[in-house]
Amino acid sequence: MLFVEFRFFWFFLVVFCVYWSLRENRSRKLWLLVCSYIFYAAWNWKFLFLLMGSSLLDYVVGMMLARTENSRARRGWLMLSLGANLGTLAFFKYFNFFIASAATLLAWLGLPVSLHTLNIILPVGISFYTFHSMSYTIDVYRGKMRAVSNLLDVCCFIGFFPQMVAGPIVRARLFLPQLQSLRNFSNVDVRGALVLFLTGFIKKACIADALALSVDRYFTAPSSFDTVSAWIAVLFYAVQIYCDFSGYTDMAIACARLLGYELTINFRFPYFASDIAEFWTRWHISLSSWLRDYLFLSLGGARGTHLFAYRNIMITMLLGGLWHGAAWTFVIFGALHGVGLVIHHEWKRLTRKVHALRAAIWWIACPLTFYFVCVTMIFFRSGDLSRAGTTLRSFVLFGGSGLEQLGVWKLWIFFALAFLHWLNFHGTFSTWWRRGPDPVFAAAYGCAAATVLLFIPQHYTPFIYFQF
Amino acid sequence: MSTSLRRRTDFSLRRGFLDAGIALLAFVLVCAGLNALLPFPDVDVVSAELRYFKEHQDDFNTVFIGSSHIHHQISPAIFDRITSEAGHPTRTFNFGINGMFPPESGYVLERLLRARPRHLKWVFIELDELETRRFPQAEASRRSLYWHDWSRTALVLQQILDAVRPGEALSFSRKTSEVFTPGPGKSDARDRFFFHGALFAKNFTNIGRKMDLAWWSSHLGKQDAAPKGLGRENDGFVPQTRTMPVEEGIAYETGLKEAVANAESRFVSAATEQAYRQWAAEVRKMGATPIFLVTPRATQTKLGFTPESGIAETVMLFNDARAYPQLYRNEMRVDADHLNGVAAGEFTELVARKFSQLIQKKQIQ
Repeated sequence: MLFVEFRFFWFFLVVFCVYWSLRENRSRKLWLLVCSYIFYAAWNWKFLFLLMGSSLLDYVVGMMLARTENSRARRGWLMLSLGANLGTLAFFKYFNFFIASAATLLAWLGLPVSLHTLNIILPVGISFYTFHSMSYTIDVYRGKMRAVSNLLDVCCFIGFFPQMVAGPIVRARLFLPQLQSLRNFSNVDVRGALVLFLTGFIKKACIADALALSVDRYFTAPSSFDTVSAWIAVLFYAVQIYCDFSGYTDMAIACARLLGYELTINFRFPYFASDIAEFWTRWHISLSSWLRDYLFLSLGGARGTHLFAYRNIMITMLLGGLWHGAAWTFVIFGALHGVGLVIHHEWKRLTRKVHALRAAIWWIACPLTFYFVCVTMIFFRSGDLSRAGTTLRSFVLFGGSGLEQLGVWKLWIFFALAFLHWLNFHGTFSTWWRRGPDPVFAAAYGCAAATVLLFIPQHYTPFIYFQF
Repeated sequence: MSTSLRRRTDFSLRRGFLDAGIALLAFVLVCAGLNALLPFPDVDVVSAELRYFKEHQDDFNTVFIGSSHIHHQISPAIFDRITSEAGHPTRTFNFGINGMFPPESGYVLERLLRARPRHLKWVFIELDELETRRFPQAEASRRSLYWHDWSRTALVLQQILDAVRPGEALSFSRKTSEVFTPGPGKSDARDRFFFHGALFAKNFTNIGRKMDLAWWSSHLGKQDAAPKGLGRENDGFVPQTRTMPVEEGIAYETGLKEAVANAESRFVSAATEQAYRQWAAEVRKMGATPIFLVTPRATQTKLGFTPESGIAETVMLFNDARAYPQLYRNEMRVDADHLNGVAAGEFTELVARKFSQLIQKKQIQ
């Protein structure tokens, strides 16, 4: 069930009405849990048991961590949680990748072996809910939050349907306290949530899915297109993935908000970042901050020598890349960002004394950062190294030799969208819709929703981040 | 204090419902407005043929409308020759389109009549029960979507509900609850109910119709070439040349024997009759005469309308292997339901002669 489908609308309407008609917090949470599991089961009910198992295990681990002061025992319980969560993730997501990579490596070393991969279905949202789950046990282990004694709360947190399958990756210590208090409808910013949902819907259904047609056409056979088409495809993909993922996040945050819960923000105009470090404070914020807090800092963070810090950055970004998907293209995506961050830190260190210059070079730094991100996106989208190489040759070296064209005029679409985004960045659309009485807003919202449907494709395209 | 709190909550709840109602009303009105204003969707063969017919509508006074049973089996040239010889000259267009069953055919008929063809005198409509089945290979196509307006969807839903307890006069609510309560054989009806309901919602809300606007604007002022499926004479007839394979022929003969043995006569369902009555009225409103036609199909069920329908006398049945054995010979058929080109000529002659007889007997005006 996708947020852009009709059936989700009916599903959410029922969830919303029943949820707010219930008086007790416990009944509400129980209702949310049942609905969340129905939402997940609509995709594949068999993997529901995996989600339930993960929730139960982390609940037990949390309880055991609360009961013991013995550091060895505590570490053991944490290892059990991490081992089970990462083990599940590794099996479903990376088993075939590692087997195939090992076979290739052995063959390259002159030791050909016949290793069999398994026909494994990737449970949707596994990368997200295992991270939700692990944030709980790690925080309890680190003493940043108390273990929750109510299984319902833990299950609700891990399985909460708006954020379960594609984030944002919500921290237990931010979400669990919300579950423990009765939500009040008078505190819900209904207007804001509805506008956010419609914005997300437009981003996903009207922009991302429309651009996907050109992007898919190019990346199916990049060698048959010319250089301009490569530029169009890569720029479009940058817009597509942003609109797809941030659109999903907007809708997820809006749904949660309508039920009285706040999720963490995930995007803050990432393409206006003036350097790659800033980019990661604006792009998929919930993942980058998760990796920073639970991986980078666990590795030692930026303490010690520069080399030590850079090593940690590289490990974090490589694993961050691999988190996105089991393919070398994702590893390279992570590696490029790691290298970018290292270079940025070195540059920052060397130019510490020329602060005045930095503001002046924003107009150069911002497009340069965007260009670098686009280059890394080529690996993200290509699917294999050969197609990535072909696209890279066209995009970076202007060496596209194909005869097919996507149409130069399409660049105008990119510039128009960039202009709209720039206006939004400067707050043009941020508050005017808050003015005016509720009935006028309601009527305008109904009209806008009806008009928006004209511009969505006839068939739904799954969210890009569902595959992760 | 609790009373005042409750009052306040009730008030905001009422306001919430009011706002939701306003939003819904605005949504529905804009959807309906756009639905009325948007150009006819570009549905491959259908749109092209409709456009062609509109351009040449005054050239024809007779139209056959229906599925592949019409498209491949009625030759306007032969029909016009026979009627001319009989002294009732016609100029015929074959508006048969593969897979166009009722109620889609009725929708297209209404579109065709909306063009107000000035000389139209006779409209032959293929008679069949309303089609409610799902065709998985075409489900995602615009073809399955565009005709799902309220009137057509209501007919289809009525047909689905009626089929759950056939022959029983139940109220609408009872029929609906019958479909939605668990029981053997009801899941298919539920599935179809939701399927057509979803298509109606999708069509009414104009999902993805920007492409119609784009198509319309890109074709403004441009002359369209004649559509490809109109045949050699540009009259809509495309004969089939395939011969029936031996194994298929054996299965066909066995099936036909069984069908002849079990041949029965029955009235069409209430929903189907209602649909055809509506279409007949639309045709009459244009000053033309509707004639209902059942082609020589393998099924030997003689469909008819109830005498109360007011359209019972204008039905031509050709699905009778005993009366028309020449049309049911193996070598005359492409498959169980379709004739080859030679048989199509013979069938058209039979239709034309019967039509002329009806005119002579003044059973048709």
